[in-house]
Amino acid sequence: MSAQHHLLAAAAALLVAGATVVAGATYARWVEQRYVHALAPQVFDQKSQGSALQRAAFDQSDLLPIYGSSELPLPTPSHANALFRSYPTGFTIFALGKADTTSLIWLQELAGHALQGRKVVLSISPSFFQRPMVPPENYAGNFSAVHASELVFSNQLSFGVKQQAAQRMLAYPETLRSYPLLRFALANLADGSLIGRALYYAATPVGMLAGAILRLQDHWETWLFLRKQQGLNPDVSRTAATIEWAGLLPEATRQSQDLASNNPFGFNHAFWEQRVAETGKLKGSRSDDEFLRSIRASKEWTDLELLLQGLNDAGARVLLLSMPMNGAYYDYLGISAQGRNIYYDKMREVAREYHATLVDFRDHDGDRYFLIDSSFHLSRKGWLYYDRALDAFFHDRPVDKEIREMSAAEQTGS
Amino acid sequence: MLQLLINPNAWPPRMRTVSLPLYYLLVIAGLIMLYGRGDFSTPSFIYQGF
Repeated sequence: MSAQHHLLAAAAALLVAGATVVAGATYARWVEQRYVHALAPQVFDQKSQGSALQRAAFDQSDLLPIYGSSELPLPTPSHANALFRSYPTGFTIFALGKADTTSLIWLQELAGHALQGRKVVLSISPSFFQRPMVPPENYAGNFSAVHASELVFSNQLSFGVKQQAAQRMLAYPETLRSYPLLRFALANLADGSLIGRALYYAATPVGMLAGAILRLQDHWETWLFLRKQQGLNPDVSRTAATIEWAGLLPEATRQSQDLASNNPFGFNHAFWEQRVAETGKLKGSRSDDEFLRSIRASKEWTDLELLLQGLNDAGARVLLLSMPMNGAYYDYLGISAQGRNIYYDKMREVAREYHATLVDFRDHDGDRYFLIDSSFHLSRKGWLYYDRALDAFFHDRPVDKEIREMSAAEQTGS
Repeated sequence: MLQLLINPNAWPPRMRTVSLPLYYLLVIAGLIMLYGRGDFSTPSFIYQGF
């Protein structure tokens, strides 16, 4: 057989393989769109580590993506994924979160999506800002090559944001060990020199091809995940209803109090029993000086500002939900209300600079029942405040005003 | 019979025309099977809460 025969046969095979891949990807996207509402309230790895389902969610007008950390997978009766499950006011949340997922990871997660005019919610924990940076093992535990690739070769982020993000991502070299092309592009992107920029642009076509392969793998893994979900009904039930906030809040508050009656901080029973001895040793273990130093030195501010700048570049509308600190516990540790105010003030300053809507719940700093532990997990009552903010944000009502009214109503008992 | 099977040059021209693209298709499919799966797993870590 001549070489020409072989070439023609190989070209025909490539054509058929290419057409099969395109057909497969189209089918996968159709399946993802079909199941995205059923999967919206759930939190699982493929949803966070991949892009396919997140992209499908951003195509839906009745899903509100919320990026958070360990508070999102924790089940609670007033969790937004329970309260909005049947779309009472016309939407539900698309929840994304694993322990210690922070701004730099969220920036990578969001970089690949078309966000013009889309609403995005970020749930922020003050604990992110009380350490120099995310520990490498925690960052690696949330790192995704497909997201990193989408950021590095993104065409909706400015060069400046990508460059600064690359500098931060290079602080976690272990995560890039298996991805030489990504590492090469990041290093040259971060470099800042003309040669570095030229090498980054030279690597971009190959990088985009590698990113496309990663996205195909993501579709494949998502399809395999969906195949394992026996009995998952893609048709979710929707029941319009009025949420009676005034009635729900006293009930959630009572339940939160009942679950935290054995300690002075409002921690839930199981957490307190597990940590009572350790907590006893923590009295006065910290100080305002140490707190302020850690707050000021934290790289999380840089990452949050990069994230907000990136979301501004992409045209997204952002709601920041920043959990309050448990004032009674922080007083016990040795960190005063004045010290804590530095954090709240700085968060307001950042939100204002990047035109993000912020609810910082600072008037709940003295509320022992907003959180269930010292690791910033929301109580039933805390979730109900989150729910109200999400509902107001989705429906373009003034979020801060509604939360202030809700707090005021709680204070007066009306 | 066996000799005919292992020597494609002895195959009828139409059979060769059909089988060669199939052969390459199998090679591509094999490569996809071997290297196509992504790894979306992450190392576990213990969250040190505050």
